[in-house]
Amino acid sequence: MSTRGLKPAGRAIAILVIGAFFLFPLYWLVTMSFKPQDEWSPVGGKIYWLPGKWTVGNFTQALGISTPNTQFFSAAPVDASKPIVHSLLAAGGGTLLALLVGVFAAYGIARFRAGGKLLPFQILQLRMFPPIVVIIPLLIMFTYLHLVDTYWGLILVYGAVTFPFVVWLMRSFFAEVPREISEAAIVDGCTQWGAFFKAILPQVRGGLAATALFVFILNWSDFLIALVLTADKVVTAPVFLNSLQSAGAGQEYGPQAALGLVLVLPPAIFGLLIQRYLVRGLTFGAIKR
Amino acid sequence: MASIRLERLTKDFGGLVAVDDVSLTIPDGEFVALLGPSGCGKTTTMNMISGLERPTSGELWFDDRPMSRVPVGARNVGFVFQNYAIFTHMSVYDNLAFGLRVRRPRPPKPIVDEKVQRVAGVVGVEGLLERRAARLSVNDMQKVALGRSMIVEPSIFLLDEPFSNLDAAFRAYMRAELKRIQHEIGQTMVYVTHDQVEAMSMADRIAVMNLGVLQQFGSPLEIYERPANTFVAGFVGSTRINFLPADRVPVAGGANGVGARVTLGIRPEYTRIVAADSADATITAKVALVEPLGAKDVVHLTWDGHDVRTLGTPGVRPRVGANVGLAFDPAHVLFFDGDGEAVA
Repeated sequence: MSTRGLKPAGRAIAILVIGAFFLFPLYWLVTMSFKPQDEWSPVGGKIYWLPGKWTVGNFTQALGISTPNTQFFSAAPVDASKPIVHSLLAAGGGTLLALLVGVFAAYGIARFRAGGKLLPFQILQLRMFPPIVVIIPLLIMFTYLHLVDTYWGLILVYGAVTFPFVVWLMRSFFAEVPREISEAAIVDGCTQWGAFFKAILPQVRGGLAATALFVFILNWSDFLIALVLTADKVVTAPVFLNSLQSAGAGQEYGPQAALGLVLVLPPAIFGLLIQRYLVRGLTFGAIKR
Repeated sequence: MASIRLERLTKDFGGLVAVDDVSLTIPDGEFVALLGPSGCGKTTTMNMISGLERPTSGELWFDDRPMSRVPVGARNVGFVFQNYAIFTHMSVYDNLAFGLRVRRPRPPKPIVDEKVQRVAGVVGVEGLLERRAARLSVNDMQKVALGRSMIVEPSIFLLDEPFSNLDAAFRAYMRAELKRIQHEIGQTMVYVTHDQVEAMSMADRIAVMNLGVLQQFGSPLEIYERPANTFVAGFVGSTRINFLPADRVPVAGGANGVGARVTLGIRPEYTRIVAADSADATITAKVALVEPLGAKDVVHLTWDGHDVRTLGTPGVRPRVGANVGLAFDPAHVLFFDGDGEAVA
């Protein structure tokens, strides 16, 4: 075999190994979600690479369709549908808020150099320390403002935390659109706003879709902020997932895996819906003309 | 339709004076080219006419209306940009209709439709109306851009180097097309370009600018034959004009002339090669280099340390190194003073 033949083979092997490494957790999540309890929590540490007895019991249990038959299970009724709705509201609202504020800020910075040279970095600064640093002061503030354990509180925080991403991503997309596009619209009789909505925004919709998805995933998968700022009225899905524990089995890995799999769906569906714009959006910023 | 009058127009970008005290009157229906090297202020001048830039001082008039406070959209100007500024997310039809649809009140659909069809015919994109603008060739994009600015029937038509991104053949075609369209609609047009051939071939009059200052405003022939200064003389003309020390060249009014005549200018086409000992020879010089350009040769001569360019016929190509005479046409000899200003 020539070295020419070896190279593609080596490549294929490398791809397989790296792919297996990164996809293994997903594989384990999927298989575990279909295993009965004595397989996801086996006595004697036996490893089940595939479910021995396939079951959808984890799903029905996590989603509250059936009640667990184990006497050791926690007394609290289990129903993930409400946390999923709460998560959709909080993450979706936070995403909308971040986009609403961030898109305009990004356009102002990209086109009018609003706020001067340093503003983008000042905005990025919001992300330069871990969220845990501000979460306690935030909790105290929110207590005074009666925002703890409310949708609005979560939406506000999610919006603020992801706002810098929106600004930085959208800024580069806007910078790609020639200034003349908006000038042409204005000469034709548009206002600055009209030019933005009719001429500029449609040109960056790919970038907008990519940004929206990215920010939604961030908000959707937040655990820490929701854990601290909510109690029992608002429970997001990741917090709920963590609460799937029982006295008998400790962490309820099976139902947790099932719920985890369900939680992949909203961003995945969102992604599929906007896929048409996404590919362009993700490559858009890299093109230099 | 309107005339345009710039009255001591100045634009100062915080210390950088892009346009310096420019006064200019463009009569109604005239085709004027703003010509100059990049950075000369021609685009800024154009942007002040369109309203995209606001003058620091001075006033701009359309007919007898002062315009410097009128917002861009209300000036009723058509603008064609160098990079087309086509809305690639729309169809060609929607691009053309854009200017009409943002008007208030919005014209009814049949009127929009009729105007779009007509303009598409004028610029030659009738067959492409349903196509997405992103899928157009560069040439068609510029046609659409031209049509889009025409559809609102602007009183003034501004074009900022519209053809500089096009290939040479199509550029020549579009030049002729634009000239035809301008005749057809008889509109005042201001055309920014750094290409003197473009300016000469299309414009009724040319305004030559340099470093923010208007150098000369006149017909192409005036600009060419009677340049106001050495900048204009040097910028206009495809083979560069020869500048020689006036006191060393034995022509009437030169060596023995007035003291102010410091520089002599003679265009290569107003000189001809003669025998070195000919009585017609104004100077004798050595052939340094011959550049064949097809229809003619550019012959570089060395005279007194100066590179003197003349045009030769390909059939009688002089030998490099030979001594030849060069006869100047006395009617076309120009003189400039120490500051480079033309001297009569």
